[in-house]
Amino acid sequence: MKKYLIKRVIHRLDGISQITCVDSGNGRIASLRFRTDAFDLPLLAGRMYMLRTAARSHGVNLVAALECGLDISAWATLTEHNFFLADIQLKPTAKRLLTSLDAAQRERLLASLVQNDLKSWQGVLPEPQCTLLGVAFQEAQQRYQHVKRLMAWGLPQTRAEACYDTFGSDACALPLARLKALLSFGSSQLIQSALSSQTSLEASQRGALELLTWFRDQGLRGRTIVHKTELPKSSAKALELCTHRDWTIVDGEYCQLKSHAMLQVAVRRQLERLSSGFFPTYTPQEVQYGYSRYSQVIASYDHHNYQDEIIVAINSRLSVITARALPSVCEFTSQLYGTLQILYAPAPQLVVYSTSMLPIYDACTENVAVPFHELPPDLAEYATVIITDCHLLTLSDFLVALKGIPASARVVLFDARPAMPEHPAHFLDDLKTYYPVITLHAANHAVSAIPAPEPKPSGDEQMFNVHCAEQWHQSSTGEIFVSDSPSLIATINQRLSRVRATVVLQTQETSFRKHDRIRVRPAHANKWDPFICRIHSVSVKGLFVQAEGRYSTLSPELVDEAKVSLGFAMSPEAAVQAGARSVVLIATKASRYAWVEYLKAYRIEVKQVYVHDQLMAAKTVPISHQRLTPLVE
Amino acid sequence: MRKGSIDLTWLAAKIGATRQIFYPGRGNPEVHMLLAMLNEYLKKSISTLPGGAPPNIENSRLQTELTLIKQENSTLKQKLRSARHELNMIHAGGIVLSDRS
Repeated sequence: MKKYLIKRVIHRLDGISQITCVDSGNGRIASLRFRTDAFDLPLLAGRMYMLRTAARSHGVNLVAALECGLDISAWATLTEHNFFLADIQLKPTAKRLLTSLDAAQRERLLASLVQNDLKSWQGVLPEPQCTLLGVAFQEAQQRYQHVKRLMAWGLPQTRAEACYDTFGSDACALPLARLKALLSFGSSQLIQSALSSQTSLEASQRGALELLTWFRDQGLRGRTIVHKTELPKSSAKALELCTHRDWTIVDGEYCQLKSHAMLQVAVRRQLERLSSGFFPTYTPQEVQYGYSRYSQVIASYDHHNYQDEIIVAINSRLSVITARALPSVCEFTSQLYGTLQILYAPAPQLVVYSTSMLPIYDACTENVAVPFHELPPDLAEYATVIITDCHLLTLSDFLVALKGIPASARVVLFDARPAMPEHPAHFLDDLKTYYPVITLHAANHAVSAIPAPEPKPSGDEQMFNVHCAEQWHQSSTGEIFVSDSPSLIATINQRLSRVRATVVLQTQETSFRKHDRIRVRPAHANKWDPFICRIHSVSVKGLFVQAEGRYSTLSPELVDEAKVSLGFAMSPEAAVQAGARSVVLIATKASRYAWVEYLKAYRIEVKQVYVHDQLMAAKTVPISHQRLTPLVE
Repeated sequence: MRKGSIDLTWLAAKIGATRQIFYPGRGNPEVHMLLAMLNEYLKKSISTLPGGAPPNIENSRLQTELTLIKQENSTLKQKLRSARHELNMIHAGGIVLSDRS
């Protein structure tokens, strides 16, 4: 074992960490690798360790580490890097002075720094910096001790550091600290092991851990409100504890996780804000006048008469419009556009789900549509915001969109679920019971009268089996499989992931291998367009991926705030959300044409259609949430 | 005090032992450690004596203030991170564990 001072630590996305360190004996610089979760003490820059190394195929590995105190053998490196304290910047003259000191003086200074007694520093550094150095050094010591403690509870170093940075000095001090650390930063595997071992947590905390993770899992399936009788057995006590700590809320017979309640209440507050201010309405005559003027200007032969629908949309603060087909959405939007402008209202702002959908709605408007998370901050007073494809939004997306809408705006939401063969539950259903609903009848073009089935896909209608997927995958590696059966999606994803390839991305819960196709979605409050890509390699800069022929690097920060899942196969909605270009469809015999139509409307090319005879278990999953619509208007 | 460290004769008389046990290589190693600790404590208490160094009250007041401000700054930064984490958990359908305050 040799003594090293660590200069830099980088945790890569594949669960490998790299450190650069200085051998304190001969001053040589070494670069070592290790698995991030291999040690139970934090390896931090600016600290000294006894390290044992071993040469392996990928370079020199770190095999054992022991902590030891700082000593003056690395004095030059310490002073050069400002003692590895982020907010300290020593002046060059001070650095020169520090390096010119003899060994005894260095010893004395280092000892006084460690003991937080900066008397002997006062001759070396000017005053404010001297105190700042002491404070920063002590903070670094405290951070190290806390992170070490958290790691002893089983968290890997990266998560332990995040936990300390989030909870601060309370991270280990509280009686419930371990529970909090596990729930906020532990992987589900770690939580399972904490639950199964009898000693690590006391019984009441174990119950709470179990209950809260159960709530979270239910919430991911859309069920966020639970009746007390539906709770898992013997969880009454845990519920009491969680409610006392304000982690869950109980109202009468129903209970809910605090985070779910906060999101739903936030949406309700936003909707209340939208309906609180003054809102101008127009008489039907005014709208009719505008509409007829518009019709004359456009003078198109095949435009559908949406006059009544437009009167409703213009005179309501928020309306939900259901449409069977995208052309009628476009038609309605451009009519609304024209009529509103003839009524001297500002031109509506069209909002789409993602940038990849912009070309679909290009024809509807003259001004530029934006993704829902990029609403311009300078929307006009009494503007109109039209959000298309609301059925793709999650409640969190919806909240982000609502926050960008000024209080005086008129909001039109489009629900395109009728175009889908099945009608999944969505929070829009709740809005529909409160706000006016407009149903758009399909524009009666002559074209739509022709029966939908096209000759091409029906020609070779094959039963699907996994070998088909493998063949497609081998012949052209660019195809994404889309299916309406969750079990088929899981099977294909499992089958096409190469078990033997090296792990390139290691997330909290799963690992992804070289050449895996992944679907990346925003998980946090910061929203961006979801996308599908194929992972190639990993470096300290991030993940090197290929998406639609273009190569790019995903930064660790982006991956950190993303939800990553395998993307060989996915549901049709997911493919639309992620902006897929071409897919292979696997659907039931009854709904395959509807799915082809649905995907085509979003400009997704369907390369091949297979049928499957999987039983569709539980068509619509019940979702539950608080009332979203305003209580008082 | 004698030559910058504690007077051994006085100490030996005080605890009722011979001076020999304090010499290196003779007495119990634990006694040596105690002696070292005593010396260090002595050094510290002398340096903090009001007569020791010319007191610079203004300066030390500023030092304390600076330390407090730095601590408050890092507490606030941590609170900010904690709020961000909570917001992310709300959007991600995670668990919010803020204390009732």
